Amino acid sequence: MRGLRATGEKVSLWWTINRRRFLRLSVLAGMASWLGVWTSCKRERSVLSEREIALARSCFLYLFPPGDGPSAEDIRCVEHFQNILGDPRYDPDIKAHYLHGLRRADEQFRAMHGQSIDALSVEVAEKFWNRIKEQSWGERWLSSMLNVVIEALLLDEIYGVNPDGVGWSWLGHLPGQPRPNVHNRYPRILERKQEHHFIQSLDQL
Amino acid sequence: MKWDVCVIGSGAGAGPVIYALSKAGYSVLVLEKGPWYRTADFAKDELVAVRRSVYTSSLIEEPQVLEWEEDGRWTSASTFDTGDDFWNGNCVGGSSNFMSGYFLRFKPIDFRLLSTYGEIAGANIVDWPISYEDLEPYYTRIEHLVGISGRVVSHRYAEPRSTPQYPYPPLRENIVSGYIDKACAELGYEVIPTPRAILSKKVGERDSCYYSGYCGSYGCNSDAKGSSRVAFIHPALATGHCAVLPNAKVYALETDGRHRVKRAWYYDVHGAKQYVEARVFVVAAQAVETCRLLLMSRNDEFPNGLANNNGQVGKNLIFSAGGTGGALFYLDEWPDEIAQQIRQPGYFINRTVQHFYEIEDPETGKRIKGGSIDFLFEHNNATTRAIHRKWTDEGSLRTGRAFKEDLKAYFTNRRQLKFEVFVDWLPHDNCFVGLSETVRDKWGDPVAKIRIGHHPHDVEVAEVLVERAKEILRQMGLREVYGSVSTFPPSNLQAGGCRFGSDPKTSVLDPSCRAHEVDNLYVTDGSFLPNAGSVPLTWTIYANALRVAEIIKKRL
Repeated sequence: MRGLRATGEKVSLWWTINRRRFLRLSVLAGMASWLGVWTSCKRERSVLSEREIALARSCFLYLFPPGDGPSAEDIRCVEHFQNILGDPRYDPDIKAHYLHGLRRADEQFRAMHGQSIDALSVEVAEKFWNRIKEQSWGERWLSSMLNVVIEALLLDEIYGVNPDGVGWSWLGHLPGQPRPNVHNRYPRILERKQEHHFIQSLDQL
Repeated sequence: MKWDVCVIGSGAGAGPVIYALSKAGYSVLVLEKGPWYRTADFAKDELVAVRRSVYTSSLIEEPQVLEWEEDGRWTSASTFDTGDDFWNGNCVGGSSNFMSGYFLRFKPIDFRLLSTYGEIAGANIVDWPISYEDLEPYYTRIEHLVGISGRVVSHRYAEPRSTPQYPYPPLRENIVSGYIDKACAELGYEVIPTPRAILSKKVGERDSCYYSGYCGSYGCNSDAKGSSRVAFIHPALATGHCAVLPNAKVYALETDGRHRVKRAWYYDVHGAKQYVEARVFVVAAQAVETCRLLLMSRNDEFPNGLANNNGQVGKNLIFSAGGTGGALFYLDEWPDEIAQQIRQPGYFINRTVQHFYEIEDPETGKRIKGGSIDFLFEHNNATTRAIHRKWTDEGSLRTGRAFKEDLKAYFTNRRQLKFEVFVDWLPHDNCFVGLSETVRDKWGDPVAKIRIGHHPHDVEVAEVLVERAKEILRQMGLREVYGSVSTFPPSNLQAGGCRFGSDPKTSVLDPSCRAHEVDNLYVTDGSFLPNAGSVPLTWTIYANALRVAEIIKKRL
């Protein structure tokens, strides 16, 4: 029964035990430069190349295209993706998983098209991403990229996403109140974890 | 300085002790592993609360090991590897900051499961060393101190009360609450309004609930929620006798060779080892971490861990759990005016069915212990709701226009009513806390290893209640009714591991929640519980901690 959660989500035993191993091995399996990817994710900044940014932009538009509501561009998915990759507190294995998938997709793109993804029509780009999705690694990676889209669509605009609450408006969602401000937003709120003095009065708070 | 009392932890099991002893004029020091988040820190920020899990310990720095049975063998893995987060609130006030505040008392039969229903093969069931009547005055005092809102109604399993009503009127309810009442009436099932530890009106410095719709997993920005921090620690500080040291992780309790704790050792925020001395020590770090601390505190007097010469620490870990499910309102099938009311995000459902607190055994026809069904809306977390829409029922990833169309339809035209089932998690030999031999935390200490086996009897009972809950949803005319029993325990409803009793061979604590083997050591979180009732635990933990505080007061 371990594999059946209260959410009804089915989780295989293999996946349960090996989630992190998968994250690491999937990176290893695809690239000789895995160590470079992983160690770069341990550093404070992980900067994408222009080519990678273009590929990520295309991927996000495939996942969340224009029409009936905001597109991935409107909600600033690429910018949010870069913020995640540049967050020194974010799990380095997950960052490596993001980056590795992007680079693996790029390898396949080069083999198939050999040009900038910006030059492709929407239809051809969609076909390319559909082929990525048909591969088991690709579907799992795209699922992770969809998490980035969902965050960009529905988090507070203080994080540089969901400008003017465009995602909330589209879905008729009312955010909880109060919304985050400059004092309690992430990562500023983490400063509380460094405070270490005896508190003996509410006035000290 | 030697304190009168050192309390380790600051959540539900700690707050009443901190409050009562500070009010009585004793010097109380609180050592809390996590930081102090102020009320103003608690925005309804999904990135902080859910997506980056800021309020809980990091799985990279502080993993735990879970061990479960699969196909007849025990398998274990670090939560760092699995991503299964078993932590709760890590801050002053603990997870009570992030509770939903469903407050229900245990019932008299929960105090005497063994004598009422008899033994169950493979389960370590015992009667409590105290009765419901012993705890009732403390349940009542907690209603006022925490601020419980609701409406007492008569029903077949209503607990005896010393007062007629809760101190505060019910919170506002969604129109759907009435639909549940109607369906239950048609089926002949009793349903009661769920009391909540949330103020429905301003009291002193605490404001009323403002119906933001983000209770569980989020801190309260108006102090309406009766967290340990707000209800107990704030007033304790006002006495001038209490001090709280946040970001102080206690890793060992040192004894003096005469079965008394002398010092609590902790890591400060820089990782340096420090200690404090006190006359009495109270541990309330939540069940798993309380057991871990005692097991880590080994010395010549207690080679198997503090208070563990009888090998009982960590044993009989329990949870309050059972199953979950839900169904959908399709809003376009309702008149616009009604649909708008169903959609209203902040008002509560607040309905519990305790009609099945006892049920008939499907096989023997004997009366056996059943449980509770609680109804609630799906959480308003937008990111979580959207993530649940990523995969089709067939297991393929939704992308592009298909994803957008599904997302829009779900958010704008549907609302999910959910249920949670609470049944006993019977104590038994395959649910316990130990120390990992291989996995260590960022301080280099062994982490907790938690075996989470379940007793098959619990599944049978949960199945009965899940079916009844689904029947109610169907009676309401809802669509896509689903439900399932879960044997994966909810980490926020953990208890046991240091249960109380009169026999040191089968319990860690005596009836006053003092360790049998250690004169000045008390445990006041949910660890003391021999069984977890069939309701959320917090009210009972609060009440017992207040009871123990009175006992400590007498000895000081």
